Amino acid sequence: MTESVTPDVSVIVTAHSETVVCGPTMRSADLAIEAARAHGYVVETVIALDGATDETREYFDQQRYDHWDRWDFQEADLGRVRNAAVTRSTGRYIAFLDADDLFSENWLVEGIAVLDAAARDGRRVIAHPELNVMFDGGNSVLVHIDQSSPLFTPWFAYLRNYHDSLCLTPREAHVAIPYVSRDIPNGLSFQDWQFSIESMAAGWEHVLVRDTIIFKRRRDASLGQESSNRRSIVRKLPAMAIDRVHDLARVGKASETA
Amino acid sequence: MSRVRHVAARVRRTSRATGASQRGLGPEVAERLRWCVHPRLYLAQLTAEERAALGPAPDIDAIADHYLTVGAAKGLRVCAFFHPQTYADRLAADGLTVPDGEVPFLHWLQVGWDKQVVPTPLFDDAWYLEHHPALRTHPRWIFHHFLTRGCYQPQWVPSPAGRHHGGGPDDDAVHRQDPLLLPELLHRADEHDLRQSSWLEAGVIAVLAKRERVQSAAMQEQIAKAAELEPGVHAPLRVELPSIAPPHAHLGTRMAGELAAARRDRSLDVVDTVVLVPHCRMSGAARVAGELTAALSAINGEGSVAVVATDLPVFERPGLFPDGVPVVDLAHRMVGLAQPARRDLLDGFLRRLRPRRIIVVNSLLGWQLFAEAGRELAKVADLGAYLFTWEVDEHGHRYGFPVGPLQQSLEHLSWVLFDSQRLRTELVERYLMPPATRDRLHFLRTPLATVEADATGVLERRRAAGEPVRVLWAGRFDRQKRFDLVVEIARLMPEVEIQAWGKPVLADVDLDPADLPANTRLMGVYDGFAQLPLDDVDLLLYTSAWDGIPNVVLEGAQSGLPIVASAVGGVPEVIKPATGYLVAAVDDPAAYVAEIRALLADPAGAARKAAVLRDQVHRDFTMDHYRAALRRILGEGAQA
Repeated sequence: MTESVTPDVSVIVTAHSETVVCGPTMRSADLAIEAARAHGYVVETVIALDGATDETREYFDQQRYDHWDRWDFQEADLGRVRNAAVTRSTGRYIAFLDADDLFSENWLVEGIAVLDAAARDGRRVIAHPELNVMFDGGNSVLVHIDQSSPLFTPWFAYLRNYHDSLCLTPREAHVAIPYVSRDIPNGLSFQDWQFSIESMAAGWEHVLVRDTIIFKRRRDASLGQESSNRRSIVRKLPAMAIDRVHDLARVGKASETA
Repeated sequence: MSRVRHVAARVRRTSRATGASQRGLGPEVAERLRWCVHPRLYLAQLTAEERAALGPAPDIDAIADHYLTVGAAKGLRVCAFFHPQTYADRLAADGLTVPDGEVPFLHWLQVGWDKQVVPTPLFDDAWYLEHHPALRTHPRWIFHHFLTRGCYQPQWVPSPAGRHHGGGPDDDAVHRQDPLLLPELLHRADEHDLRQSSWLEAGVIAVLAKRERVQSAAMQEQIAKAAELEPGVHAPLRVELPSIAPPHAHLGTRMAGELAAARRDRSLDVVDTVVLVPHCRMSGAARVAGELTAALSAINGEGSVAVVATDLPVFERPGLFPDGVPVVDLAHRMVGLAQPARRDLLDGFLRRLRPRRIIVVNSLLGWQLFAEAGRELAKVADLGAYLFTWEVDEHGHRYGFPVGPLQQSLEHLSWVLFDSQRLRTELVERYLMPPATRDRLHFLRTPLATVEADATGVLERRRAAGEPVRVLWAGRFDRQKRFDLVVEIARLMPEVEIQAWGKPVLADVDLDPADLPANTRLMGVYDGFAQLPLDDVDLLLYTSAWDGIPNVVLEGAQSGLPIVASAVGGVPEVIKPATGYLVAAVDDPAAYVAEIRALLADPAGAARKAAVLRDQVHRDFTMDHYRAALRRILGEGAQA
């Protein structure tokens, strides 16, 4: 249910075929939203159903989710449905959440505070949680690296996406750099990786929000192969050209010798 | 004085000199020092002059000596697993400090070692024991295992921050005392003071700090709340699980760095054609790769071709490739990397060069890339390959590039070149190739090398003069070349001297020079056929068990030497009854002896055959023919 004033943040949960795994997801989102509202932030809450299966639609049709807006899309593509949802939403900031992942309760409160502080300083910032905790088949902790870290190296972006898609982002970043469509002929999807690279190339600074976590469900046995396929596409991005990559996202550091 | 005792003495002297200890250091400490010496790390901190003074490959004792006399006083690090700040911090935790004026590393050898203070963030003794329970019976301090064994073998994971290297084995690392993580430790070395720390150590310290953050009260509160919603989130937080590596230790970072450095080394931007070779050492394939490269340069212009060595960091014969063609030793940059990192690195390197054409000439990594990523690669470049022969294992089974690799890659290849008609025909028949596939397979006669050797008339002169019969054999002393047959032939013909030139390359046969018959002489390595004493030999003997059209046979034919050769591979395309002496029973020494005797019985006839052969190869195996055929195959038209 959308509040009448301009929201500080639009929380957009994207779903396609998920059902019961969404329970913990939605509970975590509700807790984080409740905490944000307790801090005085206005939150728009959206479930973006993209070509939802009958089971998914039935799941989200439950009365218990009536405090969320349910938007239907037929994009059949995670990137396009995100773009469409951004266009229709009204929040200053956008917080995506995949339907099977979880926020930490403090994610929205702390993330909005970081973005507001950056805006006051005139910095263009995209916020990420400090940790990604992978569960349900992943069994690992990903420690995020922000761009000002001495460990940051743009070469790494050839091999892996530095930043998870579950970031907190000023609306204008998504408007200026929309997600690309899935690579249909190759059956690939790497929108978040490309967004990460292109936003850095456009001068956005990716920072970490202390004490916050995204809990990511990992069940995809073919992740390695998909990751390998994605790598071959990432190499084609102009910002990743071998003679340009050293300039990618150099925040407060001298350029690396190419 | 033994080397160890000698080093111990130096330690004692230097310890006194540096004030490291008032008591002398015994052999035990000297032994510890030797375990700790990592030459590559130490040399990286020296000036060019200092390195030159130590010679091209200083051994462990030389490095230890230099450290004690020079490096210690300058604060250089000789051991990859001594991190001064970590040692100071951990010593302080025990209420100790390194006394003023003492060298921290020497203090650790004498004091810290006995107190079992681990002086590096790269090793966690509790973690190591927990994850390698078989080591609980290790008789010494567990750090000793890592220092002397674990750091040289990829299976030992030393800390919660991971393995710290690419995971590839290096069997010789232990002998060089070159820990597998050294490439990562020396990565971006110019940005770090190696005396104190490194990119790897800074990264590991950061990761360990990040791991500690997981245990902070604020994080634990958030995790507990999430776990109330989803019990599964507890599972990954067991502290023994390594963190997914951030960039400091991700092998991809090193790969990307090596890739950029490889291009930078040769100032490579974009090239038209890349030729992938395994290495460059004594082999006919290396010469063909050189001729191919020269032809491509002539067809497409200077600067259009680059050669990339992919399999072994050995490039012994750069002269085989034309001047001005950049040769990139990518193999050197991939030492310690395992698959699929090697394949990905080559893939990335090739994509950066944006070649119009990629040709594999016996590069195993190249064939692997074509097999696994050929479909994608073929969208951006024409893929081609050169085939010479299959191989035969010790059981007589065929294997090699014309078998699995060709089967997996052929659909992506625009064309395949053969140096013999025989292999092409065999593969067409074996795989029942339809015309469209067959048409992509081309036989090309390898152009003769530009040598001036002319042995015309030598046989008749030497026979007329009654000089002792001398047989020339030249090649690799490898299983394929059947040097064992040469030995048997020598035993059957004690009146003949066999001069054998070459060396073992693959080390797949036992060759004991003391066991050779007296009439067999090992002449050493030769650099090109023209270097051989063709005026002093009567004939060329060739004994290989399998081959294409071998280089040595072509060069013998080119020079006018009479030839006795095994009828294998493409040899019968050159050596025929009218041009030489072909041995059909290729495993039978007596069959070779019979042909040699037939040759010697009629020197005039042998000379005529050699002359016919010489004319033939000079007519057919020319660079002009080769380049014209290559142009046709590549669709480059008639003009260069």
